[in-house]
Amino acid sequence: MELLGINTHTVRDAVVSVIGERGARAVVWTFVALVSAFAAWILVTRLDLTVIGLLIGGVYALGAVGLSLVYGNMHFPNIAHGDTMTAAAFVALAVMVTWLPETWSMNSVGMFTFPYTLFIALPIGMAVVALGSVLIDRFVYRRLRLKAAQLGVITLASLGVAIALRGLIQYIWGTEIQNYPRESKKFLRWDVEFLDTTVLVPPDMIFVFAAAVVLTLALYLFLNLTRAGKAMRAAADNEDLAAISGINVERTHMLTWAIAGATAGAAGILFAAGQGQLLTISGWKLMIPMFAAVVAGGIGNPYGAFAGAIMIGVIGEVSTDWLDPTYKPAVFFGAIIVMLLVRPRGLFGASRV
Amino acid sequence: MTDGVANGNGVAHTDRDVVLDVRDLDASYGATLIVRGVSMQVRSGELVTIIGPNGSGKSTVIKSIFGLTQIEGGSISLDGRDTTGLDTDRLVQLGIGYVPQAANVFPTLTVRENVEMGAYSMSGNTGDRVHEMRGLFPVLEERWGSKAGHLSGGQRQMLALARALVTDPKMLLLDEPTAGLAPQIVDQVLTQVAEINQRGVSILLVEQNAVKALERSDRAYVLARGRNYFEDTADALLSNPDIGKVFLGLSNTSGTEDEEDDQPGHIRKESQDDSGAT
Repeated sequence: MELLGINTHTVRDAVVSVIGERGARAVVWTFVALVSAFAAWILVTRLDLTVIGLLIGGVYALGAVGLSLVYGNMHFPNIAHGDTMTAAAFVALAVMVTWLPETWSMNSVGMFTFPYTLFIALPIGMAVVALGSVLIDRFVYRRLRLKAAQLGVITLASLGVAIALRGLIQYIWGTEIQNYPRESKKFLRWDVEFLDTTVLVPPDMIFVFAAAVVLTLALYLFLNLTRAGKAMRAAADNEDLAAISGINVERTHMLTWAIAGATAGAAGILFAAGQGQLLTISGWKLMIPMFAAVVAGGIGNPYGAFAGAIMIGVIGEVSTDWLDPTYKPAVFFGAIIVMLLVRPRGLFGASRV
Repeated sequence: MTDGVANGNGVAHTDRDVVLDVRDLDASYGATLIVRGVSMQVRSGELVTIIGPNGSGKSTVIKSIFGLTQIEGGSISLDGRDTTGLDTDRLVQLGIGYVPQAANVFPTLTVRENVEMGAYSMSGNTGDRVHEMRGLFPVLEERWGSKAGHLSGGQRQMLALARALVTDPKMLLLDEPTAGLAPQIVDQVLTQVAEINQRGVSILLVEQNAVKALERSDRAYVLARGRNYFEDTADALLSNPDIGKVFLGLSNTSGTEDEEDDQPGHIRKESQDDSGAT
């Protein structure tokens, strides 16, 4: 392996020649143990940041699962995924604020800050972007696919779609910050006496995290237990053989986009509801941690992306112990680079790279 | 006798015994015409092998029968019914099974899911058929829940066979099921193919391991440069000195070499007179 221009085998051989095979192994394991112990120490002493990071990971996860699904089935990174999330959040906002009577959004749900109308806006927003994603595939990506365009070209087309989508959002809703209807609520308090710390958690984040778990689980069950889900995985594996088996590959592509769109929609809406506000670049900014999560989870492996998202969430949050939060994107990029160098197939290995 | 197919003896076309009837097939793959005027027949319960040098159009014939190439001329019929140019879906429903040469399993799906996908285009409950495959291939039963990507090469070919057999085809098209396998595994796979044939499935097999395949076949067609070159019973072919030397890699003793390249130049001229197919 080549790491930072140094052949690791050369280094390894040199070290082994000096301290022997067992000695080298002991050094490596001591190093791994020290790093793990250090990481564990930070995670425990800054339990507040760890918990928040874990929950933020839930938002990344919802987005990353769809991104990874598209990557696995269509074999290209959909750069428009973040703006799809934003679009859903704007549609949901329009449903709550413009279409439904304002009074309906007065009361918030239980311990959460968002109103009951979110439960109407959420499925509508998800459905709209799911349909939108299918249509964009039909009119953009499918045409390129049928012309056997290179994946790099299709990826660039998705960048175009991202910019066009954001332009459309700005055209309709303007560029100002939009506020989601919300009612201030107390943070949940968790006093950890033996560590002498207090963990404060915004209740909405727990809802978002739970929704991410439920949706990912639902996706897992769909892909593994249903005929359509298995056909989708089969088409992702080997399109020619799938077609020979009588699977309508174009239909599995449509289904992929619909599911990716719906999960992206859920991610965008729940993220905005949790933040209480929405910008036209909200989803775009989430692309960096989401890509980091997809890479960490092994490209094309949606459940890996979920685990990767939790990891990236925690790393990003814990880094704020030393670094200004402004540098979070740099931390995410750093995580992507380290993952690609050390484990290019992701934490669990990937179906395809 | 070798010319029987090319001339077409008329009777065979309506003969009920003939399961698969390919007549004067011209087929192209991309822009080039690869198969030119090829005719062949498979009768009920027969195991027929197609041999020939690389690039002789063996695979293309099989692909054409399964509707995967552009057919420029001629006809293909199954049980006397014209199937030229039908969709693969329809062909599977009519009773044709096909195992492509490479990438013939879904690596990230389990063995069971692979077999289920083979039955995808069948209507109704296919659970019993899927389960039956498990009994038919003991090798697969052991690995029923593991991913196909984790199987050995031989196990993968068995899975590919099971995937095609689950639809209960009467005609099975196999494109080099032993490609890239170790010699003893080649024997296992071909023995399995012969067993499938003995259960009554007609098989058209393209095979590089010509001798091993012929030992288990009823008849064989030799293709060269996309045309019918020779046709005989498998036994006759195995003892034919010219064919043996050029196509089977046999010299004095019976070896197991693959046939290679297009040396047949001079032999071709000699046998042109008696084959007349070219």
